[in-house]
Amino acid sequence: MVFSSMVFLGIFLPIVALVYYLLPRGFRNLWLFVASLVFYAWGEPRYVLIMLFSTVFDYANGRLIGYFDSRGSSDRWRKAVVAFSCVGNLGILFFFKYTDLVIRSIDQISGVGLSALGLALPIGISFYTFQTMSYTIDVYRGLVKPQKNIISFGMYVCLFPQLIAGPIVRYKDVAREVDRRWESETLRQRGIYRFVIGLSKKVLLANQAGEIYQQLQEFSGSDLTAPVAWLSALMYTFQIYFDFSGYSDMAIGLGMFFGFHFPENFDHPYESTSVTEFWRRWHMTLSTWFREYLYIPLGGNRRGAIRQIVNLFIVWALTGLWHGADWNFLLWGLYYFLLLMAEKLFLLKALDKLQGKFRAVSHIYTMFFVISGWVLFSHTDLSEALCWWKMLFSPAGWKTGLGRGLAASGYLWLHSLPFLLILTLGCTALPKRLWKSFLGGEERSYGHLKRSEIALSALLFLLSVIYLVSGSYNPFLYFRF
Amino acid sequence: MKKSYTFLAFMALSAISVSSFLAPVSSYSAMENRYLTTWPSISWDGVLSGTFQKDLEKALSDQFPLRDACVRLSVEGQLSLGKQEINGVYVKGDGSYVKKEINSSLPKDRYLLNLRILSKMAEEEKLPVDLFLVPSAGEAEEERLPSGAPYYDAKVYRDTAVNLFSEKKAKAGKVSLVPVNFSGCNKEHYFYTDHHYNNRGAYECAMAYRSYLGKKSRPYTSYGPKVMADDFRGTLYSKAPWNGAKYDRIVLPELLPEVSVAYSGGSDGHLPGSGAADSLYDLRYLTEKDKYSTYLGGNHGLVSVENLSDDGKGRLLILKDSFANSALPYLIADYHRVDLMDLRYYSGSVKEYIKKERPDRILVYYEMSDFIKEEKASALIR
Repeated sequence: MVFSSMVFLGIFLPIVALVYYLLPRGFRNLWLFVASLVFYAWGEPRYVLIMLFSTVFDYANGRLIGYFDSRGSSDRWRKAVVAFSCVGNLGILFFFKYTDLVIRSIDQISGVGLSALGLALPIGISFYTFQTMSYTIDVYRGLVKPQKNIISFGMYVCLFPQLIAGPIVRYKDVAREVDRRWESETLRQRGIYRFVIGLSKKVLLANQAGEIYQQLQEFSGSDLTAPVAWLSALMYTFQIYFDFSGYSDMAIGLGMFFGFHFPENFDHPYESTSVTEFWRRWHMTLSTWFREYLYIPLGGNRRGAIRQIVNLFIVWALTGLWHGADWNFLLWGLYYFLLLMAEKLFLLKALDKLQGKFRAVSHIYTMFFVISGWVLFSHTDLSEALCWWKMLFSPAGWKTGLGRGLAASGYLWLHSLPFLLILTLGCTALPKRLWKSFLGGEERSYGHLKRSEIALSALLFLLSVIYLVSGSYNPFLYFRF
Repeated sequence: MKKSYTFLAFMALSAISVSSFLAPVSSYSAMENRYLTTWPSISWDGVLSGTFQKDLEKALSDQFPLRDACVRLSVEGQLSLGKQEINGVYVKGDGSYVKKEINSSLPKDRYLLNLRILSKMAEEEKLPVDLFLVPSAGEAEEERLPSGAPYYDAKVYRDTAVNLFSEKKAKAGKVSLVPVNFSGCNKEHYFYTDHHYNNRGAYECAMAYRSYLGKKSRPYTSYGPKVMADDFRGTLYSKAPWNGAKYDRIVLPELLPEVSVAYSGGSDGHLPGSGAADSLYDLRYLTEKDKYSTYLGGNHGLVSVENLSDDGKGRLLILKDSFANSALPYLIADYHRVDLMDLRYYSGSVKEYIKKERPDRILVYYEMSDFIKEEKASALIR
């Protein structure tokens, strides 16, 4: 199930919310656990078993480490358990996500005629395996106590708000709230508000940008010119941001509604003035995860420059692959490795000098690489990725785009302009600041909603439902199916 | 209100599903020309395979009582943001529409294949085959497109066919492309809100074909055109409905010879699977959304029309899409019998049919982009 669906909004959420608050506290974790399993099984009835296995597996590992702790056993045993947990989790992840990629690649290189397994990717597996791993590792590190109640632990792993698209909530982020949390009316209101903001980002902005992107992707041959390629890349840039950050907003909002405080995931990343900064503000929980559970254990920057470069290489190769099981994702990760290395070595110093008056230059530099990176990211077919990527810079593509194809480029850009403007403003902090000053300059992330906030959320909700319903509108010219 | 916000939000969410459940079930949408998903019944197999979940999701939006209003509002919203392309159609501020067709969406290789199939068919059947490609709306009336809007280069496709056939007039065993030109006449040839040409367009095309065959052109009024409906909003309107859309008129030529019509296959709407009629028009459609189906009662696998007057000579087989339906009234007087075959609905063997019925001539009559995309042409030579 996805949040931006009629079933979730009209049936699932009202029922889950109503029953949750009718139940006494002692049963609420159980109810969230059950609801989350239904949420997951909705689209993947069989794969829910993998998630349950993952739950039991790390519950047991956590308890085992706790047991060794209480016995005062040697660190060897505890290390063995945590290694076992990592191998198990990564094994599941690898098997379901990457086996086919490996088979296909071996087949392509050797030509022996291996056939792929054709496994469907279990939804959210990249998220929940990372979450359960973080739990066992943190128990091992002594940062959290093992969870004794399997229902509570299951609820944490399967919790539907952040289950399928993050943020990646480490157990230690919510350990206290898993056992005890204070749901309040203000938190509920703030949660609903945040959810509606996220929903409208997804439905009103991301989906619309995605539609234009899809239309442009159909262009090929002489229709495909450099201005078309840029518009397409821009639309994807906006689509992925509003889609992903909208989803995070919805997750965080739902969390608040049920009394949780999830970590933030996006901090207006497209405002960044360096690629380094971009990655501090984009999908923050993933970067944190890789830093804490991979980069620092590998030695981080404490073992000399060469080792640091190697470590960064590993981290970015894996970050790339984490996003998807195809070589373009690996390349996309390494693309950022190169950029970040360049910044670390010299670029950042140069960019620093540009701050102030020439801030815009470093901003354009950052977005240029981010946008062209998304072209690589959005095409799993490498030859296609290369074709679209080359078109961005192709002199011939510019020549046709501004020559024979000028009318078409003009038409496409001109009619997208108002929407582009909204999208651009939407991914800066400006709307929030304007809204704040409209409200009287007062910072309000607590307390009951103001009347204007209620009105805004009602309007956005209404618009979202209108666009959601009309999104399924699909008239046929000829056939009556 | 501040205290009851959560409660109100809860009510708003529940209203989505409750209103859908309570509203009367609708099973067909004339606007969308498709059957709607109704409430699925729950079963273990359905749940495990996921079909129940998918159908429930579809049903929730299909049965949502304010569905049409939502679609309208979202179209208005998109137009107000300057978008002129919605759901694959170009929408202009004056309330007219054109279906979007770009080079990239019209596969050249499919087109070449279809042309070669026609050649092969002509050769095998030893019959003259005329290919008539009705100009697409955006080609015939470029001013109807939003300025600069991408549109396919019809001339390139036309030249391909001309070069391939390179015969002026089809002889037995040969194909030729019938030349057609709208530019001489200063009238609208396409509906504002439908993907078909209007009565005028049908007339011009039929006359182009007749003059290609050496027949004298007849004036438009000699066919007795009569306005039958003036509140038609067609398929393109359905793609992006908004209040500013224009209305079209359905005009039917009335001075026609007496005919007897037999049809079979591909039925929908009023006419059953097979049957007979004594008119080229099914007037019941005039009161419905899908008014273009007045011509021949929509698309059928096979329609055989016999001209009961003694003036018509010979037999013509038309392999066609829906554009031929409204051109037929202008052609029927010339023939003793015309058979119209729609490959999308005809399930029998075309070869067998030709062998049995022995038409004198074959006319392949398609709107150009439809012909380029036709996927069933290979049925002609099987």
